[in-house]
Amino acid sequence: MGNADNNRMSALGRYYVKGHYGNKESNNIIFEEIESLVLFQVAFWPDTVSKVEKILNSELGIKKIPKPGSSIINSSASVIRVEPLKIWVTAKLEEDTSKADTPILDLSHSRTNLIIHGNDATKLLNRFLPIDLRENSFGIGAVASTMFHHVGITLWRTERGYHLFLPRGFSLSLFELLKKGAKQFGLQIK
Amino acid sequence: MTAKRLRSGGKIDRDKILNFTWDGQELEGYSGDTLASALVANNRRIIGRSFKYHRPRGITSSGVEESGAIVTVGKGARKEVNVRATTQELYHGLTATGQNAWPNVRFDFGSISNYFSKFLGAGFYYKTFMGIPPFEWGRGTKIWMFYEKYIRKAAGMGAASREPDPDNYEHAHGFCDVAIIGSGPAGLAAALELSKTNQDVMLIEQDFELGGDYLNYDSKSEDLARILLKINKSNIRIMKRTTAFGAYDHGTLGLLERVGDHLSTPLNYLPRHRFWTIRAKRIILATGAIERHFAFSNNDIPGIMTASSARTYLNRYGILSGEHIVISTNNDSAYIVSQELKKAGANVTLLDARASIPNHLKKKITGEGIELISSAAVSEAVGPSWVSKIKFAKLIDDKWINQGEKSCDLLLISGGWSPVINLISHRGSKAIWDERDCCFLPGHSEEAIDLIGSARGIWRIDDCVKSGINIKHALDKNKIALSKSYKVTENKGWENPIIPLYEVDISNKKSFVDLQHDVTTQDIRVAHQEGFVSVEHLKRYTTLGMATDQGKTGNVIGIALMAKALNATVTNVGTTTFRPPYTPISLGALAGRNTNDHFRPLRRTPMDDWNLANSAVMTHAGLWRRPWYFPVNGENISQSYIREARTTRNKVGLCDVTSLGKIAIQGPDATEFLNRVYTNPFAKLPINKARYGIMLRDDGIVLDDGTTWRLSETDYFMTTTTANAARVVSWLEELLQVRWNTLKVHITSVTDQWAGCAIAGPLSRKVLEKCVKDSDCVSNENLPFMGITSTFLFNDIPCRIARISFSGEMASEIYVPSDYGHVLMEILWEAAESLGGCLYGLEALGAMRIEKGHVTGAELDGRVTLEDAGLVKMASTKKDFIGSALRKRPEMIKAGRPQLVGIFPEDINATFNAGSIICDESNLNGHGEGWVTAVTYSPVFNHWIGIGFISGGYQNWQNKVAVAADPIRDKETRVKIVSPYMYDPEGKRHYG
Amino acid sequence: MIRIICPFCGERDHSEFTYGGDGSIKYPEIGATTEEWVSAVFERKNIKGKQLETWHHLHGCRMWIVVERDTNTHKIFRVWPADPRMIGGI
Repeated sequence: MGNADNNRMSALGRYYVKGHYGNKESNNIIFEEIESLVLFQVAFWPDTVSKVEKILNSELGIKKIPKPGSSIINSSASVIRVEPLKIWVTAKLEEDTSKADTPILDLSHSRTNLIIHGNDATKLLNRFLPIDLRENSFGIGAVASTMFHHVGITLWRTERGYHLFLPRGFSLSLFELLKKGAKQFGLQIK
Repeated sequence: MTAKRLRSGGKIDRDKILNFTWDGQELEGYSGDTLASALVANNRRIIGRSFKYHRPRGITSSGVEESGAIVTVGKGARKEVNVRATTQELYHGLTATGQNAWPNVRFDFGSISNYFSKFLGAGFYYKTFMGIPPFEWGRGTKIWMFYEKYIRKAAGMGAASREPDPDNYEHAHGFCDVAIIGSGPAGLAAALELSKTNQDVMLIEQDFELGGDYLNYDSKSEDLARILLKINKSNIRIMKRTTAFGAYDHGTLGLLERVGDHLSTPLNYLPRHRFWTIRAKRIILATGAIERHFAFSNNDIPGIMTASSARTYLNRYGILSGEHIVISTNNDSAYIVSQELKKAGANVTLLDARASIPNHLKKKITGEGIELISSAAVSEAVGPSWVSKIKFAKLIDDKWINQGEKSCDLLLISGGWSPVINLISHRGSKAIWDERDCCFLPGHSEEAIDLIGSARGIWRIDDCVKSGINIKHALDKNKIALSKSYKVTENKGWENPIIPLYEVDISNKKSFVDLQHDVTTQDIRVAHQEGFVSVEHLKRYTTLGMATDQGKTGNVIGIALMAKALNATVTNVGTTTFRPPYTPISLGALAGRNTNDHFRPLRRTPMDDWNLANSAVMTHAGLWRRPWYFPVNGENISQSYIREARTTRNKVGLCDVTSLGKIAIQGPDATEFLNRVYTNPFAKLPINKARYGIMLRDDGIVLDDGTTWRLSETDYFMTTTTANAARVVSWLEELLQVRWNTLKVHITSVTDQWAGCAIAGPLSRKVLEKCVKDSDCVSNENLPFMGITSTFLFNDIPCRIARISFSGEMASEIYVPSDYGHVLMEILWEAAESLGGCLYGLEALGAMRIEKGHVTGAELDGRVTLEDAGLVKMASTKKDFIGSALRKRPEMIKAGRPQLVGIFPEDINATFNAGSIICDESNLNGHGEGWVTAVTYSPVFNHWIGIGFISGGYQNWQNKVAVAADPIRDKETRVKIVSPYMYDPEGKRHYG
Repeated sequence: MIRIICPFCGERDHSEFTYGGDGSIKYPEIGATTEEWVSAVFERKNIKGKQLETWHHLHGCRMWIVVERDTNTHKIFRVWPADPRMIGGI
């Protein structure tokens, strides 16, 4: 599959142009795109939680499903609780671990993963997202799905900054909006 | 010259001179000025012309309640009309003009209407122009419609720019524990107190300076500086130039932040306005109170303003607004004003309507050389364009009798104070009239909204501060809402009681209630005589309080006059409902960044760039952008889609079908779930097979159609129509969570995960063979009609292929993970092009599906049953499914319902329109017998064809002529009704 | 704008949700009689005051929830997952 992976093209593609934008005096927003995202979903039911935890443990060394609205960040992969009965894993899971009551789904191409950080990252995101991002509401490891200009998106916070999982089809349109909003803070696209 | 800037004093920065232009004249002001203060300092008197009568108007206040100095600011595309000069921060290079006047406000041709004004009273336009008797008895408002544009022109509100707005606007979201609105003495005290707690506080101030009433004092500068020092050091988030314009449910506030209205040169990366939505756990309104005028003859002419505003101009802006000043009051607040103006060098006469004035107050005033006349009020101002003298009267036996005259160059009015209770009223809290203090006070609210300071009728500054400090007790006791018994600080009323004073009626000269909308006392009385006695009717009939100032000063007077006319109390008359916005907000701010290309989010397929690079002309399908047609050699749309459809039917065509909804259905009960949802059986669908399925709603109407592929025992891949994708996902989730929560099934949208391309036409297998790694897997044996396979393209990209056909040709849909979409197209196109194939868009796709009689959202419009759509064979008789009960209601199965049919023109050269009504040829009337849902030129038949619905369907209309009537576009075409399956009805072409 | 406390996500703007329908309806089995279905689908009360309604956290966790809300004041009394398997959390 190595061959095929080289052919992956991000939805931002040629529109992702590195450089500095907007307010020249400052540099308070940084965009970084993670290309070739690997994202697998594991779904479960109340009575199959232990089966999922078994998979997580054997594949990633993570013992628990993270609590609602949170994630477990590991050196090899992270587990993000996106829905009550669904988690996302940022690592490839073997297809044959998919069982009827712990179905696995490859979503690697379904989202564009943009990291936003910098001094004014929270301010920028709250220009668009109607959720509470204050430190004690949305600290490192927090995860939430919310609405961005009528589009459902998922937001996850790590040490690197805010990870936005944007539905691929909408991601360029949303990226353009973010870019416009970020210029006032001084934007660096890395 | 009467008004002048004093040598010292004020809170302006005299080192920063700002040049600005007023009505073409170059003037100077200082940093810290408003446009109004700079105009006062430059002794500009006539600032505007009134709305209806074109009477000259001057500055009447120093704040948001301004009803006279309504001006136009900026030029070109940035011209902004109806700006209150009193809140426009002065900046270098500001250009402002008066409005509603020609050639200018000092000489206005339109003022002639003042002389005809007796004809222009309440309801004049309506009475005169709407349904004019006897010409328009019972015939509506044609004459009004004709005259309205001239009337609108005469009743001016300034002329907005016709150019597109060059500025950016944006939205923002905020969260806090406590939002304090207003940074006056009470608001600052509360903020300071809360800064000692761990509450997350936002302090919101509409002005460009914090301080509120502190700024109006000459003595409180140090107090203010000390508080601000602490506030600035705290964690309180301060928002200046920000108006809380509305309060909404569950602690939501709407805010408008004016980011760029004070900048000489707008920065292109900064928005002009920012529209905030704040969610606060608790809201504290420290919004202050607004001083009212009262009605007397010519109370609108320039040179008359509220008493407190003269104090603001003096202490905040260092301006003495007049030399010979008369102040007319009914309350204590004007006393300090008279003292300070006297101290600053003016001659001051104070008329107090109250008969009993305490001796100590009297002595203090007269001892400072101020003339005090008790039991007196101004009865008339004498102009014409600037007040030069006033008459004053005394109330004797309930009648005002003139007592004398006073020369003056400035008249100040204090008719009482109205607490700013707008925001709590937005929450449905009814204002309560307070007889003692002559004002509306906030009513009770169950919500976490508190009022402090003069917003709740606390008049002394020390008590206001106390009410702010005391808010901390409320928070400690009960974090959510104030307990009912708790009082922030008692509202003790005036030290010396205020008396009611709304009108001094002596002469029959014009006496204004609402200055901005030219509503007079006479208008109120006319409205009363004509029976408009409800306060809501009064407002609409006279337009009282309907101008941009929303009656901040005039409403109470109007209500009081109506109460008097009715011989009722103000409580009985009541008040109109305050509604957002508190002050006007720009439409640009409401739109934010969601304009032009970003009005709606654009959804692109992974092949979007590839399609564009291959000459696609695009169109919108819902939020998606899809190829419409691929013109070659300068073709127009018709030439292009006809060629595309023909090439596809004869050879092969490729079409981006990524936008189809794609849903993963997984879990042990997936099969049972699908069997309940679809009308046709799914229980026995083999692995690696696809099946066409129809879903109904509960009421038996068709919801959506699509194919579902079985990938494994418990894993399905469902496709839906582009239009219904999101709705179907939500519906399936509802069924699983709300109704069938014993089933173990998970639903996940994978629309964005997969890029899809349809390969249609007799050569489609040849294309596939060239593109996949193992060509055997696409042979007719391994991939028969409705078969599916998961395999690899020759370059190792994984793909899923299904032998399904929307065009009616031998066809497949191939899906790859989205990041490979462009590669998929390159590979497929290289193969298809070499075989003489084409790319096709939505138009050709539509043409081919109409020829086949395949339904889409145009047919499945929420009114159609399985029978209507000719799909009754899709309904299983061996199982129950969603909609199976209600689809059998009598109305749903009665004979003669409109059914899906094909439509040919009788004359094959004729055309007809989608949306036409199909009528019996003998009865071209009413709703007809059916309708046309889609038409196309058919490359197969070489004439236009259509599909649609008609009563009784094809069976009823065989050998009969119908007419496709399009009364809007004035077109009638004789048509034949045929079977909807116009092309290859046996479906031979997609096999083999 | 009202704010709804999603049992999974916490308090969010109502714009993230879509309104479902009457939360007091017990939908019959798919094989139930036409009469039962007519009653479930068409017969509705028009309540001024407290009512049960379903909402879908469409742009959030996609959970269907039951909201007890006062139609007059928008006051929300209780919110819980529509799926009884989810009550009490996982």
